[in-house]
Amino acid sequence: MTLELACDSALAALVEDTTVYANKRLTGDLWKLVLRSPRIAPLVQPGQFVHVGFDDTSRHILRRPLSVHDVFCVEGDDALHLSLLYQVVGKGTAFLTNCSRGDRLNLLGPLGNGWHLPKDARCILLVGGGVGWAPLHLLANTAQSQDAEVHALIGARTASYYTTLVLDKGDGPFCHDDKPPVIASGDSLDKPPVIASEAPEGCEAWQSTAAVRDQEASHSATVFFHPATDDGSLGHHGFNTDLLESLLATYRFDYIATCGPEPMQRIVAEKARQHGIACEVSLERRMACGLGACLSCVVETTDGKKRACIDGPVFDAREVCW
Amino acid sequence: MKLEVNLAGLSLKNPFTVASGTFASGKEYADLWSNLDKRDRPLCHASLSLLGAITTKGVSLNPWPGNEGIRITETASGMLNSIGLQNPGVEEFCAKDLPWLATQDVPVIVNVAGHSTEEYVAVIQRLEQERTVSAFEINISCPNVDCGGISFGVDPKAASQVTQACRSATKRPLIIKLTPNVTDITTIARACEAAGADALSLINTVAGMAIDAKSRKPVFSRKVAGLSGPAIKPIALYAVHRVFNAVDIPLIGMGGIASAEDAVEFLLAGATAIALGSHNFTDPLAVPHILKDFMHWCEQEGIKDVSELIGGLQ
Repeated sequence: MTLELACDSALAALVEDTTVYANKRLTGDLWKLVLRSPRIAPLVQPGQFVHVGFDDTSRHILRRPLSVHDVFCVEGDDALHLSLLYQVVGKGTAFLTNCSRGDRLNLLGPLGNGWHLPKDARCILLVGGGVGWAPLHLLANTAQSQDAEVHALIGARTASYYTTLVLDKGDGPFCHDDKPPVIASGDSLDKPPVIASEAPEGCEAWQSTAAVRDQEASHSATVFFHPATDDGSLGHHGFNTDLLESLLATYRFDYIATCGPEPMQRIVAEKARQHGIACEVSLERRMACGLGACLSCVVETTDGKKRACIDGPVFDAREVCW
Repeated sequence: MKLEVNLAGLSLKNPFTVASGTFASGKEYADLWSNLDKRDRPLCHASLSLLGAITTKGVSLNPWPGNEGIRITETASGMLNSIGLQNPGVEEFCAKDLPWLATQDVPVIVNVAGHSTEEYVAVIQRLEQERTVSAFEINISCPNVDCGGISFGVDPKAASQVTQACRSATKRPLIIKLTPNVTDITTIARACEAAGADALSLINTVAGMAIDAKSRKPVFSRKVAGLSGPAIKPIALYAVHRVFNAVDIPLIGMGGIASAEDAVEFLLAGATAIALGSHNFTDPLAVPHILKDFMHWCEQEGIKDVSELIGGLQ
């Protein structure tokens, strides 16, 4: 299958002073930032990112690249908003946690080369590690709108981390509750672990959704989630990549997209290669300009060094030299 | 208000250029600027021609791959970089970048990198065939390559020798870019002037290091990296001031400039032109923004001719 653009090629980037609509800790060091962005948000393609500038440039002179997690409207406002998921890993992201409603944040974006979901994809697999789910969320929506069956294999530290990532669907800024909607048994593939995106109650939910799947009815409202947690509190106890082989044996995927820790992405890329499935990876690099000028964010590829900011962050898995 | 300055025979419509390596050949920024709302534009056309001159990324004779591993890290009010002068070589530069630059109505200062005197000269000889090149800036001050670069910039004899060799290869304005990582920058500056340099750029980045406390390892593969940003502005300002008093050739001042007032300070210290570097990363519209503020500042202060500011320190 050849990869082709799902949408028009990316439009040129803009600079926009956005307003913080909400900034909230979801769980542990995972945060969600919602920005009112009438100019940039409408241009975002799945897999693209924004370069977030801080208003304390006397201390932080570099922007931070963050994947766009979702684009949506909030009640009572026609302007589009975008959400960013971020994990507090350094001084920049720690600074971001101080932002509160009404603050201004300068965005440069949308930037980068996003996902290239084949238009004829019927069944796709998204493999996310932790906050790496962020750029896969919009892709899941796009795939659903194309009537593709979407499977999401997600690795997280704990059930609560996982639940926050998955339930926070973006149709409201903070629509999650603290309870997992459905416990899915990721390691028992004879009963496909399923969570309907409409988040119905308990086990019946996956049974009914699975029944729909079995009847080959419309999948458009369904994402099949396969969780794995480090502490075993939900789904498979261990790495999400432990489940790859059995998933690949069970379903006929025609496209795989992955984002998260690089060792995880590397395993996914290798499995996809072995099974002859088109695969794209989204790579993270330290970045300065975000425009392709400074060469800070290079990725080693079969075609020499490429720039994560403009040639990526999404790359064909086969061209990455791991 | 007169913004024009004369830099060693090169007429610049304003004193602003960019620091080599922060701006590639400008196309990435020009694309962004062309998306600006009219109200964001300080002048009627937001293109590279806003600049007094563009200074390109360093160009070497052959393609250089640059450094492996992590290439940047943020520091207090600054950043360290270890890019390593990655560039596709002078042939590709001539084939891809120069034809586009020729359409931009802006003087082009090509930054030249080399591992040896012969290599600097070979790059200049190739570029001598190109009409779009307005001037050469010779990088004898990059801390991020093993051979060449800074090794020429820390020794007056070596600096003089490279300058002389480049001088005999071109009649176009020859600018030597100096490093602050020396005991006395005026000694190097005088040596370059005596060897035929038309102008000097200062400063290149300040040598620095970052360590990852958890892994107990250096962050950068070559350990050393170049510090830039507002953190180094006082160092740069003092270097410009001292060199201005030591030589008679014009200076391009750079190092941490992040506002119109910063730019004015460099002019007062003795710079004829100034370059925006890391600030392009903080604000990709830094050039239009600061140029607008600069014009406003001059108006407020009743400056009729920007030349009044050059070396105007009291």
